[in-house]
Amino acid sequence: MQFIAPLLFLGFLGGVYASAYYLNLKTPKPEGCDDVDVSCGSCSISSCGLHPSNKELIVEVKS
Amino acid sequence: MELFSLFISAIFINNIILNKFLGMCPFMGVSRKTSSALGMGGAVTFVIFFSSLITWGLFEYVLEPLNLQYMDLITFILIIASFVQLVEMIIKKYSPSLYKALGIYLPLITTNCAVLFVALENIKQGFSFVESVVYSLAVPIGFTLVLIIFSAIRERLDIADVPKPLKGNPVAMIVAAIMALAFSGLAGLV
Amino acid sequence: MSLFKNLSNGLVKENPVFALYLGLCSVLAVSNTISNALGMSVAVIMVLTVSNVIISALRKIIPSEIRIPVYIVVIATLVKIVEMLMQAYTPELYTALGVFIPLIVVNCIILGRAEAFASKNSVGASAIDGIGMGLGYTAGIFMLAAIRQLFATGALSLINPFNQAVIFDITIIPTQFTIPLFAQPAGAFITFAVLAALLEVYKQAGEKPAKKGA
Repeated sequence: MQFIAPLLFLGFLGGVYASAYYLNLKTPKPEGCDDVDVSCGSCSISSCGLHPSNKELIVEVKS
Repeated sequence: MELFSLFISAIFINNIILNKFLGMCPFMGVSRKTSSALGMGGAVTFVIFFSSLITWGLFEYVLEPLNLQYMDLITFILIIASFVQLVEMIIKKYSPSLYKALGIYLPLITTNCAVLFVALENIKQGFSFVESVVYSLAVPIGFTLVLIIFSAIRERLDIADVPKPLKGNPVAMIVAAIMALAFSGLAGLV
Repeated sequence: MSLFKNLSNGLVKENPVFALYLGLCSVLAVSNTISNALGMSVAVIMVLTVSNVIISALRKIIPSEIRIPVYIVVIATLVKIVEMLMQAYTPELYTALGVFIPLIVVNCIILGRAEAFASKNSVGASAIDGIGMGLGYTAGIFMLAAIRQLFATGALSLINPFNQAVIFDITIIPTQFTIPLFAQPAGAFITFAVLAALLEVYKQAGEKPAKKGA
């Protein structure tokens, strides 16, 4: 019992985050899109949604 | 008056970038133009303010009564991340102009140290609700202030004649050092 | 890529601290003494390696769309475990590092390596890459801390975090000649800038002979 409650809580929060992330991924950008910062190119934070390595993922999901 | 001194000290004396070194990652990348610095600052203020209040409320009314304080880190980071995703989705759907101004910086804020720091600090210092509101508002204002000053300096630095090894990020660090020195002169204010 | 190349990649060419500018928050803040720096880097290496291994082991099962949420859950759990272990076994180090242990969760290095390497390579290679990047981080933060502690206090000292026994404590510069600026944020920024510039010079010196030969 002592382990179940936190694990369930964790699973619930993880589920909320995963679904919010997925819904956000599916929502298309409005028309003035790809106005991304030029300086983002030298940034190496690859977990950021604006990193070039994530662009193919978005294209994949749409098609 | 304590709230006012908390407000002032969080902006100028314990500035989150120049004194606590947090929020540095976008500091290097986004601070090249003043307009983008303003957008980034606005987005950060919005995210930190509301997510800190939500996490504070969650800690006080859910985690503490159930004796699950050790879940604070995981809860906070997941709440912050979900909040950012939801906000981005809402902005995308309902306001393209707001998206162009603030929304494009939102993905970068999820893993920003500053957001998680404010959420954790509110708990660690044992702030009441009002103190949390003041602190969560003051910290991103300090962040925005430094970001705007920094981007204005950097716009000029980009066209100056900087020695080759120092070009780009190293000279930005030296500018940050000088700014840190300047801000530390305000230490006797409160 | 051979194992050694994997390791040395994280140490010099793609040094996460000075070349990629990842994880700056913790590097600048924790580098005031060598003991703090080494304690922090051990924590980072542990989290980095274990998270790389777990994510690499699960890479075929995680659906590609929600991979970032899964990574964050894994890393957050690991960091909390490490934090609780540190709170129990090394309490002084835990208080000295303060809020920067939980902030390992949002350390760009760990999420970045999980995304860039562990999600595409085998468990063994990911583990080695984690250790390599962790050692690069250690090298970076150690150099920064050594310079800062040397100039700010004149002495280099290392304390065993488990029982607070002093391992060594050497005074190199007499106290009248120390520069307290290095203990302050401004000194941290300046030292970092100089070290980053030095790495840039080293990288360009490596490129020049290659260009001349070609």
